[in-house]
This record gives sequence, structure tokens and C-alpha cells, in this order.
Amino acid sequence: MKTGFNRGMAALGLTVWGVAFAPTTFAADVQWNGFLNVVGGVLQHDPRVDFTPGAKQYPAYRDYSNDLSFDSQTSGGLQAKTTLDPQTSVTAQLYAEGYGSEYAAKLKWLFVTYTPTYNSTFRVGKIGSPFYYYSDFLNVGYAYHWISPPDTVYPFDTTITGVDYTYQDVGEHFDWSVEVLAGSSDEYYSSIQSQVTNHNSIGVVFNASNASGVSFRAMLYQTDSAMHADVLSPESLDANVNSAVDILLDRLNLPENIATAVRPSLVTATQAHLGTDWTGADSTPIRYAELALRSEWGRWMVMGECIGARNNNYLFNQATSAYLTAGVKVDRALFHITYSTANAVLNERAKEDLAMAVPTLGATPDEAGAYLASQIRSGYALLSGTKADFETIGVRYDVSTKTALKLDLTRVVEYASRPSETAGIGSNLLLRAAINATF
Amino acid sequence: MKQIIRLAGSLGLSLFCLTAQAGSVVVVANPAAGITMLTRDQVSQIFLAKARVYPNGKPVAPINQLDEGDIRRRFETSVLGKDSTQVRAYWTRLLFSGRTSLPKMVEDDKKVIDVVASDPTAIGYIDSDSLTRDVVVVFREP
Repeated sequence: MKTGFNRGMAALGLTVWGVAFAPTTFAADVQWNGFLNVVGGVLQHDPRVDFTPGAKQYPAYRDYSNDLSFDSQTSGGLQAKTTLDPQTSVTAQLYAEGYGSEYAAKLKWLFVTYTPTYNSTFRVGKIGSPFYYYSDFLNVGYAYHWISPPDTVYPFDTTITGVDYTYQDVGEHFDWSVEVLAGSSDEYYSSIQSQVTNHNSIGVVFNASNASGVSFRAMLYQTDSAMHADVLSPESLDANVNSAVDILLDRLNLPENIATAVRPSLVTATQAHLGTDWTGADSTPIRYAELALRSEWGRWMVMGECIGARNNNYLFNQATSAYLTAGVKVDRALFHITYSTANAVLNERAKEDLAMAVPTLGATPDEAGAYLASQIRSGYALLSGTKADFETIGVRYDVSTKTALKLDLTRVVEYASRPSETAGIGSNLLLRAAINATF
Repeated sequence: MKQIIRLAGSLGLSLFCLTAQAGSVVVVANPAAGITMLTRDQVSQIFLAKARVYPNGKPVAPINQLDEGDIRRRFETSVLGKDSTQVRAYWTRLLFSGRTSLPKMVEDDKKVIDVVASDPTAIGYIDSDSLTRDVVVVFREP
């Protein structure tokens, strides 16, 4: 079934690109549009994680450093849309970005749109997941005032292969729409270096806006998700086990011959206790909910959005994030300010692991192995269990109706995931400039 | 003497009204659409792709004018209540969502009238100075 569907998608792709490039009059029926985001940025301090007590630490932001770089968020896309008949069209979007894929173009979207009535629209194929207010145009910098929406709320850019149905209508002074969708996905995410598989994904989105410029959005989404992170491969975990055993033996300061004798049994016990049921490789249900409210009046704009995710995964448990942004337009310039925050709560089992007592010198290899396994597991959980705030001030200047220049200054602050934690705490400043164009 | 003053006064008022009305933005439709008047909100809903049918249920397709045109800027500011960059950003969102296509674009008022007069679904905006009897005014900029 899946293979058949993929073949169908491939054929669809060939159709749209074939029609687009055909040297016949058909080419005139293809609507081409594109966008380009050239973004350069520099961090005040190189990101640094230092576990030495009292050491200065600096949070990272994507892969920016204190050398000016352009690859982290520079991207572009080309979209082709061809109309097959008055009710049916095919849309394909090629997208390339520097971060993670070194500008290798990929077919991001590929779907058929069918409009049976003036109020109803079906889309079938590879479409964007509607997690966020900006999901449909997340990569199109020209469409919003920031250089990019806050990473705390918008950590992923995801697609699903499936079907969605939208019903839209208007009242005298307002308009509204409801979108329902179902599908699945299997994608590699550079940002978390993981292959993520989602099945049985279903979602519903409600949008409404009135003539006074107030827009409201609400979303509910559920999926069965499995993750295969690069850092959680068997080889990586084995390396971590060996490293943890070496650190423990070093701290115990045992005679070399005893340490050498104990080491194999300690490694075996740690591996046995570590297990793999916590890595997220097994499919677990995740639920998402989102709310957004935006108001524009005259020169002013204010907007807030929050999203929550809940599951029972050891690594990713409950996460909430939100932002509040406001802006004022002065001639061609839009000055804006944004506060965003993200808070991921540790799983109860991870908390128990963290609270596990350090084994005494007389402990058996099995007891020591259980302790080391708990620390390795919870160490990974702490990586995702972060609390962070971003504050951004910026300006967007519209050079023309197709080009905007932007300058954003963002302060990134990361807090301890738990009271006793001293690692991963600190702040950093990110300065970015961008040109966004559409054509 | 008073009559002359009154006459001059009313003439001045008429001239003022003519001056005020000349060059205003009007939204025009095909007579066959059966629409005689739209509210500002209804015009906005049609030109922002939120409504695909007239209030009477007949299909509607907006016709836009070129980006650089003065009439387009005036229409967006006075009728849609947005400046040209706000409208462009709005359409950019719709366009790259793949949910709709850009409205058909023509270069001047005459072309708008030609298209609207020949297509019962078409609706466009022009300067009132360009009006002909081929189309009906369904909204006039106050």
C-alpha cells in the first residue's frame, strides 16, 4: 500500500514538473513563484557547555558561532502550480537550505488540490503539518516580521503525507474555516539529528478572523511517534557506557589491576540496566494543542501563540512554549519586540533516575551498573528537558512590495532543568540580518 | 443679489462634490452577477480570497491591477485598509500555502472593464473617471 502510494506520488511529481518544463503551450499554464531568505548572523560568544562548577556557559542558537555565518538560516524555494481543470490543480515546492542539508534541493510539498464546491477544498499528497499559525509559510521570511519565528515555539518544520479537507465560509463581518487532516510521515530532522516516524496522525484546525483585523486559531493534533536519534544508536550508547564506566573507575581511584578486572562486569551490568525502552524508538502517542490570537489595527500589531505537547516518552514528556510579539509600522519600517519561552518537564522515570543514590564503595557491579545506566539515561533526558527564554527586538524595512530587509537582536537565556543542575545555564546574544524576497 | 449668492453657493457645492467624486475608487461587477451593492467588508472578503461567492451565491473572481499602479495602492489603502506591503505579505502567505492562486492581474482600468464586462464572475476596481456602461458599480469609496 505504502509503496503503491509512493509510486503515485512520484508519478504526480513527474507530472507537475513535466508539465512545467514541457516546451509546449502547457508551460504557460504553470504558475511559478519563489522565495529567497539570505540570513547572516553572529553570536556574541561561541556556544559552550562546561560541567566545571562555576564555569561560564553560553547557549547555542542553531549552528551560529561568534564568526559571521550565512548557512544556518539561508534558504530558498520554488513553487510550481498547474491547473488541471477548474476544480483541480497540482502544486509542487522545491526547497533548499544551508542548515543540515547544504542547499540540497528536496521536494518539500507535492499535492493535488480539489475544490468540489466554493466552500470546500481537499488536498491530497505531501503537505505541511498544521502545528503552528505560520506552518503554511514557515520558510517564507517575507510573510512575517521576524527573520524567523521564535525557535522556542517553532522547533520543527514538518510535513505529512495524507489528506486534508478545509471548509471555509464568511459571515457579514467575519470569516472562518475548519481543516481536518490525516496522514503519516517519515522524515529526518537535522535540528535533533533524528529520523522521526509518525503514524495515525490526525488533526483539526479552526481559524476565524473579523473585519476589525482580529484573527484566532486553534489546533489539536495527535500522532503515534517513534524516533531514532543518531546519538542513541547502539554504537553511541556503547561508547557512553564505556566512558561512564571509565569515569567511575577513575573517581574510585582503584588499583589498576582491580579496575581492569572489574571493568568488563561493570560494562556488562550497565548495558543490561540501560536497556532501550527509553530511547523513543518504540512508537508512543503524542498530543499537541495550539492557540493563537493576532490583532492588527492601523499601524499596530500584537500577537500571541502557545503550543503544548504531551506524551509518556522518557525523553520528551510535557512541553509548553509561547510567545508574545508586538510591532508598530512607521512608514516602510516595522519595529517589533518579542518575548518567547519554552519549558519541557522531565518524565517521572527520569526524575527517579536523577535521584538515584551514588553507590557505596562496597556496591556490587550490578548495583554500580544500575546507577551508571540511570545517569546515562537521565543525562539524555536533561538535554531535552530545558527551560529557555528568547527576547528579540528587530526591524523590518520594506524596500519594495517584493523585498524586505530585516535586523533582529535576540537574547537567548537557558535555565537549569532542575534546582541542582549547573550545566546548560547561561545567556548569549545573537545578531542577525536578512534579505527576504519573493518573486 | 441673494439669488446670485445662492446660485454661486450651490454651484460651488456642486463643483466641490464633483471634485470630491472625480477619481474615487469604485468596485465594478458584471451586470449579470445580479449584484447592486456590496459592503466594504464583503469587498475585502472577496479581494482577500476569503469569499469565493457573492452574497447571492454566484461565483466571484477578483481582478487585480499591477503592483505599481496608483489605483491599486488607493484601493488597498482605502478599501482593504492595508498598505501595499501588508497586502503583499498576506498574499505571500496564501500563495505559498498552496491553498489558492493569485488573482488575475491586468494593467489598467480599461482592461479591468474589458474583463469584467465579458465575465459574469469577474469583479475589479477602477478609477471612477474610467467608468463605462458595460459594468455596474457595486461599491464606491466614500
